[in-house]
Amino acid sequence: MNKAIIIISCSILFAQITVVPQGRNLIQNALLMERKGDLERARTLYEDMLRENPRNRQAYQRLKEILKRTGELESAAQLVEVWINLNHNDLQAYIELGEIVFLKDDKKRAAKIWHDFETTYGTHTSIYRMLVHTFSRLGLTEEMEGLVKRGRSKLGQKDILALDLANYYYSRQTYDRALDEYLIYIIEHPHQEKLVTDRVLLMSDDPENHLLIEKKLVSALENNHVIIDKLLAGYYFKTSRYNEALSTHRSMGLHNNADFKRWLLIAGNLRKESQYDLSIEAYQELLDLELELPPKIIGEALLGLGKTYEDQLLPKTLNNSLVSFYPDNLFFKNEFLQISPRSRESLERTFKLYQRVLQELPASSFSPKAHFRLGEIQFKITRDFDGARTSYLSALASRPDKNLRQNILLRIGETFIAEGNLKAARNHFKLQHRTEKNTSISPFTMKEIHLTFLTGTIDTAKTVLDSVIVNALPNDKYFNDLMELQDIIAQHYTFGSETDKEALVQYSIAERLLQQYKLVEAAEMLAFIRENYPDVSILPIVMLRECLLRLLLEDVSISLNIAQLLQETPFAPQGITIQGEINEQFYGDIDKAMKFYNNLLESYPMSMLAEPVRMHMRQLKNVVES
Amino acid sequence: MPSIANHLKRIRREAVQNDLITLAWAAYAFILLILFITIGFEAVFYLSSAIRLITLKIIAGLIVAGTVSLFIVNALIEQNKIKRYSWSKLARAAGKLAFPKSDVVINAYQLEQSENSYTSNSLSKSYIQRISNKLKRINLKKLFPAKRADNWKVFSLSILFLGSLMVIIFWDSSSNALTRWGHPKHEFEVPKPFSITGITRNIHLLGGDSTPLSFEISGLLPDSIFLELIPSTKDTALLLAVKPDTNGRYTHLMEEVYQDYRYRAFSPANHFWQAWKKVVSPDYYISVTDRPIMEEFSITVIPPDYSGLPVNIQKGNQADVKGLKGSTVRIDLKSNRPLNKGFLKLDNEKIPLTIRGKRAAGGFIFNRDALLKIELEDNRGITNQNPIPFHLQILPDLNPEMSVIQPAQIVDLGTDQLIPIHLKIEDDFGFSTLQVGYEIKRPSYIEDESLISIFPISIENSTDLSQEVKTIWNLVELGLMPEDEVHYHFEVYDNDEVSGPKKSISSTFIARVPSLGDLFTAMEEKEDQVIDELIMHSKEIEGIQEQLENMKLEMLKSDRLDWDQQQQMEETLAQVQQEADALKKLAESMEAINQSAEKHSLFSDDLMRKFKELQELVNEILNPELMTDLNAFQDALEKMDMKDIMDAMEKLSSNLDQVEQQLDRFLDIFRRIKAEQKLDETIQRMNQLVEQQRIVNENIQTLDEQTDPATIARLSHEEQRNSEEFSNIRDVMEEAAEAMQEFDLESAAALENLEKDHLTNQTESSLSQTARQLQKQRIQQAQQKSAESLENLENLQFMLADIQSQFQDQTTKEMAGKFQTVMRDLLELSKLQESLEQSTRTMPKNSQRLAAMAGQQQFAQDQLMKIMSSLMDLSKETFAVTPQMGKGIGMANAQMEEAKKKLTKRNGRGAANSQQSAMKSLNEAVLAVYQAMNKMQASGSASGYEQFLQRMQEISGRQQGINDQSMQLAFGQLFAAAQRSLMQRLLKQQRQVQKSLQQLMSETRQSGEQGLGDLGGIAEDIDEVIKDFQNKRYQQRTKERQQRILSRMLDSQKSLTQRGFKEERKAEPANAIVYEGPSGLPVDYGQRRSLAMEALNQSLKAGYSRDYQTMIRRYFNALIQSEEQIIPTDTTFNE
Repeated sequence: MNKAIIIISCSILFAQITVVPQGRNLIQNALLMERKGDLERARTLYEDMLRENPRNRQAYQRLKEILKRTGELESAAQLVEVWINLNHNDLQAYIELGEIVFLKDDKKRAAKIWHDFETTYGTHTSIYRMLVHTFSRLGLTEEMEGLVKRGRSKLGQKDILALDLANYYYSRQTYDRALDEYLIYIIEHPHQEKLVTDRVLLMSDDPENHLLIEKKLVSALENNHVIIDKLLAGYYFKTSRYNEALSTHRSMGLHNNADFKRWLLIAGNLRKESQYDLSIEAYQELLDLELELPPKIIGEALLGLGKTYEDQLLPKTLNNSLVSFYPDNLFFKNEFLQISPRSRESLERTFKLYQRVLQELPASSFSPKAHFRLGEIQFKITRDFDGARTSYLSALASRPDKNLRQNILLRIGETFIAEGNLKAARNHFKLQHRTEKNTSISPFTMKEIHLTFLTGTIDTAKTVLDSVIVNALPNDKYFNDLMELQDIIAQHYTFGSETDKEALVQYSIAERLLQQYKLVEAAEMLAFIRENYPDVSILPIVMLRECLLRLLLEDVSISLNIAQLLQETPFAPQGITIQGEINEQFYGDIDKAMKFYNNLLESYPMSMLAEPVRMHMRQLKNVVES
Repeated sequence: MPSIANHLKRIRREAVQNDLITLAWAAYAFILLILFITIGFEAVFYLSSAIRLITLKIIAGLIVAGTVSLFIVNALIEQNKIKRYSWSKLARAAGKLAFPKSDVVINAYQLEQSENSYTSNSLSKSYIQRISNKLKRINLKKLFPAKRADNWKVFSLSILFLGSLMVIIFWDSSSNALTRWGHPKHEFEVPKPFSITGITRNIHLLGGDSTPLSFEISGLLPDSIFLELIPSTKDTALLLAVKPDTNGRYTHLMEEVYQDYRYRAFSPANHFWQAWKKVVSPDYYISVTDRPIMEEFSITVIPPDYSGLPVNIQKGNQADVKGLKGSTVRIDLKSNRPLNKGFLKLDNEKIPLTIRGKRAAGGFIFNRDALLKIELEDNRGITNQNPIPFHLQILPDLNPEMSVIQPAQIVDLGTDQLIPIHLKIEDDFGFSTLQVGYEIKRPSYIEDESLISIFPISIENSTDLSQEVKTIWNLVELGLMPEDEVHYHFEVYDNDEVSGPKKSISSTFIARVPSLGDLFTAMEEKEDQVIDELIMHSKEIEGIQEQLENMKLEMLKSDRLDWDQQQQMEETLAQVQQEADALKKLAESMEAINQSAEKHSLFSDDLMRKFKELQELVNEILNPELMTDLNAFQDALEKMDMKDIMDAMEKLSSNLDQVEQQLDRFLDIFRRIKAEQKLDETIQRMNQLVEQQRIVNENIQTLDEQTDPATIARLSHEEQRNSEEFSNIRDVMEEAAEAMQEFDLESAAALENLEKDHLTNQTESSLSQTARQLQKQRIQQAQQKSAESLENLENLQFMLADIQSQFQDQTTKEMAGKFQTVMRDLLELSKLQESLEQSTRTMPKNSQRLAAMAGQQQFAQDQLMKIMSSLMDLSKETFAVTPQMGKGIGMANAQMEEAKKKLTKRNGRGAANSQQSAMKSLNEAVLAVYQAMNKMQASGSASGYEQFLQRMQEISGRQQGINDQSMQLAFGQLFAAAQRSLMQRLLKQQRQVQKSLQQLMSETRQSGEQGLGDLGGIAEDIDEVIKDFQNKRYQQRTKERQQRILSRMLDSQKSLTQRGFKEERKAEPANAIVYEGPSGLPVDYGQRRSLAMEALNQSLKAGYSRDYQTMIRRYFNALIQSEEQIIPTDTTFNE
């Protein structure tokens, strides 16, 4: 201490005279100096402050940091010693003293300081935590382990510092020890399930860790902790071992409501991961417990099952088509599905299931959902618009919740559109639109715009579009759809010639036909535009639309011709890609397809299609090689 | 038996006697010494009677005092008061001599004196007797030896002998000295070695005459004597040393004696022992008779009227008389004597004076330099002697001076054909005429005679000696044609009425009416130069970047810089600095090109705007960050901090990359604009040609047989000129077609075809035929061909306009297509992002696909990068790429990055939120692209400039509103409360305007869509206006500021080159002002002061801050004051 006093006194006596600017207090000035990198002056100011008030914590902290930073560890240690003498209760200072001494390479003394500290003050977890953090910072793993061991023994808590230690190991990728500690922790703190699960799942990102994780988790199962089962199930699910995941859940039992909910969740997740068989198995297993189940769970299970069947209905489209026409745009989207023959069975099952829901379960919140799902199948797949409308109306009558009600109403309108009864559709949407008071873009407004476009009243569509976009927020889910339509209208109508305008109106007719699933008529309409309006600005869009439509209709040669023509338009990348796809998928000529793909990469490297095509080429190459 | 006492008395007597004898001999020696000394002194120095008397008195006094002293001493001895003669002393001396013990006698004496007391009488007596006996026998001569007396005796006799010897030797002197001592009261005259006698004695002279003063010496001749002249006016006497001449006379010549003197000569003793002090001559007198002189004299110079100078009255104490030629000189004088006659003698010419008593007056006209003397004669016939010559000197009336500040030596006339003239003229007395003499020179092939004429410039105040003349010379009336030259000079005449006005002529200036072809060619050359330089700089920067990269790699290898590396870095820094400087110069070149194009209205407004933007783009290439980075690099290098150096290098490299990209962008846009420029040039020249042909055709159609052949010849020349121009236009068409090929093949082909078209050939042929027919004076044929030419030209003009329109439409369409591609891509990406977001949101939290989602997100991000790259490319072609697009894409990129991070941490919900934000940002970018595209299409201009104008218009509208409302405050029409309320409202509105403007400026700066022109200065004014409103005051100044803000806003919309209301830091053309005259006019006219004041005004207008202005004012005040102090001392002109 005497030395420190001497040092401080000397530094005060012999330090340069610091000219302190007026109007600022010392600490501000010192901090300013520090920020400016003038550590010498900052140090002098801190020393001044400490001389005036040796208990000035801020000055002490800053001076200590400066001394550490400038490598004057001896002075720093002396400063801390002086501070400890003045502030016996500053426990952090003891640890810091040890740290500084350790950094000075006097490891023995540092160990003694920490040991003395632990002996004197080691009566509380926080003391151990402070030490653990210091040890972890200094990379003293063994000391840390010893400390935690002593702490657990002394304080009689198994999980003390488990999470700290686990995180330490995790950050150093020492996963086995990390897992041990996480498991210790999760058993004592089951509510922290998400945290530990996330960590375990992150560890499992590396397949090399799989064996280790499984081993550790399975070993931990011996103690019959449900939480470990959950972890294991989650791990299996994440590593695509869905069967084992389901088995693990099964082993956890199906006894109470919580179990039922857990079961529904896993079944639903299996469906989302396209594990339809397992999903169905899970739902069935639950439904088999019929008598024990509350009706709500039954309803959920049945709907889930139905959804799983629905999801199995595979649309009959070009496999993984690289080119799409305004993808996911509400205005150009066709809701109809053409399912593959093998999906017929699923369709029947789905029907039966929803019928069962409606028959077996009392009128409840599930009725509207079941009606709605039925309507969806009738609308999208069987294209029984009347039947669908009846189902939707039944759903509407069964007091659905707000969201469902909205969807039902939208679908009712769409049935009118699909029937070609645009007037009825407009009346329907108008009626609904008036009641809508939401700030975000209403789906009814979208439908109204869609209708005006389909009816060829482009001016009206534009006016409504403009007014909606002006008030729309860019994060609205409809925003990009609107922008696409607006762009089409602007380019081919607002800034277009009279012929351009006329062609756009014709094009809207084609879109109307598509909404009615009159694909052939729509294709003919598009061909008509293509042939009769060769100079209009919308021609590239018309051609692309027709090209894709012809593919769907399997008019491959026409599609190929159009694709070739597209090469002279802004949709050249799309034209080239479609040619490649036709050669690949319809003619099975991979080499020729690859030529087209290569052409795309060479000629249009900046196209948005370049990356997907490149990936597709890689896949193709792999397939060919294998 | 005698008693002891008696013995002692005897002894005392003997002692006294002995001492008296000694004293007597000493006194004798002293007296002798005094005697001989006094004799010697008197013999040498001839003491004055007083000294002698006093000396004698002192000696007598001393003798008396000595005698009296003897008696006193004797009395004291008797009383045993003097120790030397006390009993005890004497007894002891006797005891010492006669007895073994010295105190025996004193003891005996004491016993004797105490005989009846306590001792035995007998014993005492016996003892006393024994002593007495012994004392009786004592030899007193032994006790008091006479040795001292003998010494004194010998000494005194020696003095006596020596003294007597000296007296005998110098008997003459000694005897005289004794005589003088014997007559102390009588003064004896000291004998002198010589005497001085004046030869010239008393003298009489006329004033101004000279006279010698001579003395002769009888006796020893001193080496010099002093001549003392004492003026009668009792002024200080003159003392002159005069040496003897060969005749042994001492003569001094006294010149020009004007007053009476008393004079004498004297010679002082040379040594102190010389008894005489000086030998003086008797006093003599010089008496002087006066000549007539001028007691009062004045010369009055009356300058000629035109000079405006005041009458100058000069006293006779100045012999230089200066005046302007033609000045009247008048002399007035007064003599000390009544005058008889007088003359003014100008060199050899005599001009009689008018005499009136003692006064005389006369005058003459001052026409030449001369010597003026004034001759006077008094009534005694005595003339004035040596009249003072006055130098009459003609002051020159200097030639006027002229500095031509504007125009430059050679100027190209713009379409307005105006030459702004800014002259500075100076003269010492004023001006009479200022004019421009000019000669119109036609091109050589016209073979026309030059026309010489003058153009007078009015001078508002011809007496203002230094003034600036600003006027504009409109040359339109001269009917100049392209390639005509006007050679002109400026002439300024002064107002000299005496010698006739003198003039100064400037050098010859040339104003040229350039042909459009010349202008375009010159401009193209400059542009090509700019392009070449840009390419060079781009390569240089690339090289620097490579260097930086290499250095970075080198640095990674070591933890410290070696000397070579440091040097290399410093060199690189210097290179970057050089590049920065070069780019600045490039911006200046662009400015020059713009100015030239604007002056001659070479291009359409749209093209001009694009040029402006290009210029701003060059300015923007050098972003301030580059300079900051350079400094940071320098600092880091000084501190030798490796980390900082690396960081600084990284930043610098990145900024240089941006500079390079900007340069590339500039080049790309420049190429596009050049193509447009070529087409524009074709049209412009064609338009002008059609116009010219129309005029020529009109003239040709009016021709008939009686028409002057000269007129026909002139028209033939003009037609020939048109033919040549058409031929040139064809060349330009070809060049334009070539340049346009890169951007629109169709338009290029159309232009090329047009150039080769039959119509074009036919037009060229008809034009030349018209000229030929005119030459041959075949008027009818010429009229027919001319009309045909005009019709053809008009057709071609129309077709060219069509091609231009087609080109513009095509380029706009092409640009719109590119924008659409970007927009489509952005929308596609936005939807992909939306889909990713939905997938992420609905995905099970422990789904394996969550990590795979990050891959998809990466894919989306890669796609975004492509779009960004496309947008960058697009920005090279148009200014319509706005910062909002970049902002949206940048934000989307950041959010995608964030989403990826969250996905890798399995934070599904967080990732979905980030994905949603990314989608939102993408949509914002889409919106920006859509708006830009629409505006571009709506305006029909691919430049994207209209957006800026529109917003500026809106802001200026708001500012106008504020200004209008503020007028209510100015007129004080409102109550206090209403004023406060209005002030608050205006404050709010003004802040909104400020915010909008800042935003606009920031956006335009970022986008490279510069064109703010004068807007930079608005910010300051707005700040001030806001401050005024905050302080609840509305003053004239506030109003002016508001007007200035509005003015600049409007200017920025109207024309970006116009400087608008602002005059801050206005550049003055640097013209060499040749100064041939004197350093300045007389101080009376304050010319220097005005120069200083002008300089001050210019400095204050130069836009410095208030502090600087104060400093400048102080400096100039000091300057003016110092001049006022200095000028009178070095300028005696008007005194």
